[in-house]
Amino acid sequence: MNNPKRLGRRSFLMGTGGAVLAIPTLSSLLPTSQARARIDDGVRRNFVSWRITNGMYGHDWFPSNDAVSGMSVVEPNVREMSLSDIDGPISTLLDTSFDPFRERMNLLRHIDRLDTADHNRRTGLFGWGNVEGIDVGALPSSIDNLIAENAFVTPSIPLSLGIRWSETAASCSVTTTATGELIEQPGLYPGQAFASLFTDLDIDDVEATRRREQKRLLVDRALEHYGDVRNNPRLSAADRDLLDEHVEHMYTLENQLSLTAADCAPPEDPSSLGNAPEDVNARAQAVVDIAVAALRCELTQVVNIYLDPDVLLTSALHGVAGGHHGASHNSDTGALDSIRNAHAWHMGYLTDFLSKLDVGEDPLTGGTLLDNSLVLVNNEIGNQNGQSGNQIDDVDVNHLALDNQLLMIGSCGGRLRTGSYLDYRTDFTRNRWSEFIGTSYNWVLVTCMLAMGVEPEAWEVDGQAGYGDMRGSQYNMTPLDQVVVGDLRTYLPRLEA
Amino acid sequence: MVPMGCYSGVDTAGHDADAPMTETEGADETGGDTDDTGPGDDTDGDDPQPAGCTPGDVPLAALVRMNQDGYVHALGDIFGPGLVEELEVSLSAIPTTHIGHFRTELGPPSYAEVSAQVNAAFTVATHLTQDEDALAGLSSCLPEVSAGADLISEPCLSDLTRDYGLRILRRPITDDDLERFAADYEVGATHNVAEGVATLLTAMLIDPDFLYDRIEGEDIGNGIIRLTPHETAARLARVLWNSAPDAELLAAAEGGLDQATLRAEAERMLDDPRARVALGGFFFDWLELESVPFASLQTIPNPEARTALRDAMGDSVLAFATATILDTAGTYADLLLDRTAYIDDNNLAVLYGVEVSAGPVQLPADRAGLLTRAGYVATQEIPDTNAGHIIKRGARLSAFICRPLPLPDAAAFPEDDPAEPGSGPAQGIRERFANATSEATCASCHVQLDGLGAPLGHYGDLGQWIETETVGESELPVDTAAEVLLDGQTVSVDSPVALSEALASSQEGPHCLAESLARNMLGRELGDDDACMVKELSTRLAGEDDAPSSVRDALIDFVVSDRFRHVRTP
Repeated sequence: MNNPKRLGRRSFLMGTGGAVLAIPTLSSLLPTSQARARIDDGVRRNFVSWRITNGMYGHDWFPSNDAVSGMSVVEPNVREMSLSDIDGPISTLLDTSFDPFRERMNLLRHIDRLDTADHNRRTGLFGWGNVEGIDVGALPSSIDNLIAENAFVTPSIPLSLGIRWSETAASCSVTTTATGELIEQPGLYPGQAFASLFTDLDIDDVEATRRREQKRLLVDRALEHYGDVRNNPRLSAADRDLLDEHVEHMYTLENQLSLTAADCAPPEDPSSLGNAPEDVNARAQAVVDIAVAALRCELTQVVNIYLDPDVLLTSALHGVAGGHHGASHNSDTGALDSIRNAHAWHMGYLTDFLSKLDVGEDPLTGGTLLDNSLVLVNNEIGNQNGQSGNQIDDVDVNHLALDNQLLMIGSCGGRLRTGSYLDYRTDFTRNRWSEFIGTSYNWVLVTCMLAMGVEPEAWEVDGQAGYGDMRGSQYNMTPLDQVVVGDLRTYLPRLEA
Repeated sequence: MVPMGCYSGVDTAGHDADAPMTETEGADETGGDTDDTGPGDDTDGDDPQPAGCTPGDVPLAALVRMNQDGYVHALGDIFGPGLVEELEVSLSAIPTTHIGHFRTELGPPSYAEVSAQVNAAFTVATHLTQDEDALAGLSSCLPEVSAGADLISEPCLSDLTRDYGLRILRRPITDDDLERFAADYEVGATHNVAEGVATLLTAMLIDPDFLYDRIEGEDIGNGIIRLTPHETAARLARVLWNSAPDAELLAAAEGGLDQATLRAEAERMLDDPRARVALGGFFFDWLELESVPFASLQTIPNPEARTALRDAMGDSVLAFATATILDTAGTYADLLLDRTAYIDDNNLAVLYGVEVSAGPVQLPADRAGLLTRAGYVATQEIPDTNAGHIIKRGARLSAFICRPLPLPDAAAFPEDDPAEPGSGPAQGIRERFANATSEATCASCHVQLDGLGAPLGHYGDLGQWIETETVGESELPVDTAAEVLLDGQTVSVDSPVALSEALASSQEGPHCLAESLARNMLGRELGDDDACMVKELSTRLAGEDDAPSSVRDALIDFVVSDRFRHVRTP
């Protein structure tokens, strides 16, 4: 799964007969200009996952059938219409606040994942496949990690941001260990993220720069000692792996400390915000501002944002019992209103985020930071309307990941076509749940990775094409041979520029 | 990893949970030397092997990573609690990364964690050297040095390194260490002395021997390593305090830490407030108190009062558990049956039907120990009913007896959530779930979940006592009769107290406590090599022919035994 074109830092560190000979000088081999080098065409691209959860209702999210009646079949199993040709707002939730981005985004329809649609699996970025004969543990990490590891000359560190009242913020970032164990990476609270990223970031302060260099030197020296400890015969192979992880992160930190960020400003320090549900709006705003600053300051190229709406929809805030999850399993009018409100709340912060990224002008592409990025709005559960797909009087309240909520914003530095409503339905129908059988969700994830510059060998296991299982095996009402899975190594139709 | 099927009578260590345990003697209490030659030689005491265990059943030596709580505790113990208070924001920025049931079970470090630790180390060291007064507080040789001076004597630097090295790295400083840290001192000392001391301390705080418990030990043959006295002290401080050794324990380690001294130290440490904090952390994780819900807006409109009640529900459980073990030498059975409670929140007192009190109070007869406390049984409010969630309670209890059930197959979920009264009008939550899960694929687990959750049915969503279950406009009787599988036998219970009594007199219950304590201590899931350690603890907690030991005594016997000090070479 490692990209063979680049020598991994671990290989470098440990390939010297066990001695960590090169660490003190390696950073000098990666001067700022190279560490921030731009691959291939020189464009610095960013990937952002904006996770919403508990599914959505098609009647609020998608355009009405009348609005897209002008859709035409452009390829087998692909219908398309320009978003600009939709009169008025695209939909209830994609209202006029999205007009500035209409031509720079794609709204996808009838994307199905047929595996286990489970809240607990953080599946939005993961090629989960529950398929006989495939060891789930052998699947690679979620795409944010694969992109961070494989898309850039200097691997990036995914920044996972979350808000939640409980002890650990959640994220949808999943990594796999050497033994195949899945580890859900924790999300950072705004205060944690601020302290991690911006505590030392005072670019105009000479004194702060000197202290940063001091810290870098100490990390550099500590790395040498970690190498000595690692080679102690008392350590098991598992212990060595553990220390290797530590060393890798310290090495990345050393590189980060050697950078001089430009054109950036730290966000407001959110550490005074409490964890009370009542602080949810301030914390959400802090997440947005931290993500924007981290991208503008080039502190990361991969960001996961998860504004957990179970915080939003607590009884404390909206009088809705059971939280967002509870309401999403309820089909009465109050619950539908609550779900719509929750999504509208997300959309408010999403458009704020997009606007704040829509700055600058890359001399290579002429695009803004947003244009050079790919923002993927995703959800681990799908459309909860029934067979009609987007009729308010057909609420099914299922727990499936069919006809998913997927919005792609930004052209990823010119690699993606944008401006379309793309319906990937087949001509096959189901008896219930989303009327039309659609196209594999994992193909969207493959498309994102390709657009970001990741090569298929980074996600393929044992040379088998596909990211995870492209069909899934659940839901007997979907004959697997009717699902469109693509050729497993290309963009979804109509998305490659 | 998630187990693949429902209970088969095999515990997670791969041993037959139903097999009767056999007699074993307590650990030696007479002290002894420390120079034994192997776990089978038994020269420093009478550490017996529980039945089924062999001398070779010794856990592999493994790095144990310091968790976030341990990191903060250690800083507080090394540099004083004032430092932690002043730098609370920086220290709280270190993210939590535990991946198992317990906060000690850590996965590989994340970048966020490593960078936060480096930042915290730098912040701490800078704070400790910020002015002359601060410097003077660090070492007796530093008052003569102004913060801006460019030189301190070599003996002063050496003393400083040895002193803080011992405390931070939890082992004596070697000549190589002295040389290495002198170079770290120079990184800052090129500017001034204060920065030199700061870079010296920073280097120690990012050293692997601070962030990990690492075992060098003494090879005593047969592939067994005996922890050095300092390593034993470090392990003891981590297990009993989730912190670093204090000066007294380090001094005891310096003296060799024979078994009598080790026992005395363990006794002292369990009397210290730090033990209460660490034990509280264990119970917080074991009982899943992170899940304590907020009351609804309708029940308690005031946000502060809602938060206070939620905190009190959890804190009261922790206060009871820690007091039972540390203050009253309670047994496992006491944890399940004692009605003593500590309640300082008015809304919680109302919920229990008692008065707020500065001291302990006795709960009504419909309550017993841990399993009947609001903080444990409360579940998220379900619309249109006052009932708690029978399945979530069942799942929690399954974990409490170390029989976790697999996650359900979401594809098999019914269309309507059975927790919602609308899914089965005029039916209680138990009946709704029974109907919705009657198919064989669901029933195999749900029968067990139902059996464990049903006896708690008289506790409402917030853990309040309810006589009837409100479902919409209806009032339904609560059916709490259930059959529970314990020690391989089916036991009939019909109330939360009866369920607690059944668990209290079982062997499976104490075995799970032993297993959980071991897992929390080792910071990982258990393997075959750990089975004897668990069995030894379990035997003491459950008692067999003898009366059960108090949890406190069992812990002390355990930490002074060879099981605590021996590991196997990789």
